[in-house]
Amino acid sequence: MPTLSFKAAPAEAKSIRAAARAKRLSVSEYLRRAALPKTAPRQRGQAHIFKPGRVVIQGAPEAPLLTSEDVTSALYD
Amino acid sequence: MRHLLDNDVFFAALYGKHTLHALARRWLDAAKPDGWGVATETYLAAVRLLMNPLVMKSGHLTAAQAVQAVDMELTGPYPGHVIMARSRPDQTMLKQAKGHRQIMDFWLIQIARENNCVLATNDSGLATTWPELAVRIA
Repeated sequence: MPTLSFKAAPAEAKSIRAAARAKRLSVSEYLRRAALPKTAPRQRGQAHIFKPGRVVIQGAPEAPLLTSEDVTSALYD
Repeated sequence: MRHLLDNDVFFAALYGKHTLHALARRWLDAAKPDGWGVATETYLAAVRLLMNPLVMKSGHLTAAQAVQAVDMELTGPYPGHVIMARSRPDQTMLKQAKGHRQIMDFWLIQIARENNCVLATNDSGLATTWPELAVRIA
């Protein structure tokens, strides 16, 4: 695993260490989280295809296949 | 506009876990250049289904997501119309319904008739009952 190092003024180093300690993180983890954007969590029902004129909602992994009868029941019963 | 989609066909095109998804998606993509649309009721039915946790399980959408998905489908190179009925329900037509589930189908048939198009459905009974106003996608 590569090692990154950088120079900081004493006051900056003190501030970074204090901030990491306040969040109960190592300095490395604190800086890693500050530098890298969070990976966006997959949204509920995220569209597998979502573009103008062509939308396909993927559906949840545990969702069963739906029949036309299921659709009718959900809408009218 | 040539085709008005019924609730099941439109939702099947949108939802990957509908048993008719591949068929409905392929049919809709091919039919769009001829002109297409959905009734307001079908638009709202799709939104309702996409938001329904009993249907979508943990993948159910928020209202904003569901509306965005339906609107997105209606845009693109061959945008779809959202049709509002111009007249009251035709009593003569509705009285022919054999059960409560047919009422919406017959209403969509009426809207298709008003707009000089045909209702695209996978319901063979509907296509048989109204051969000039409904076409089966299968």
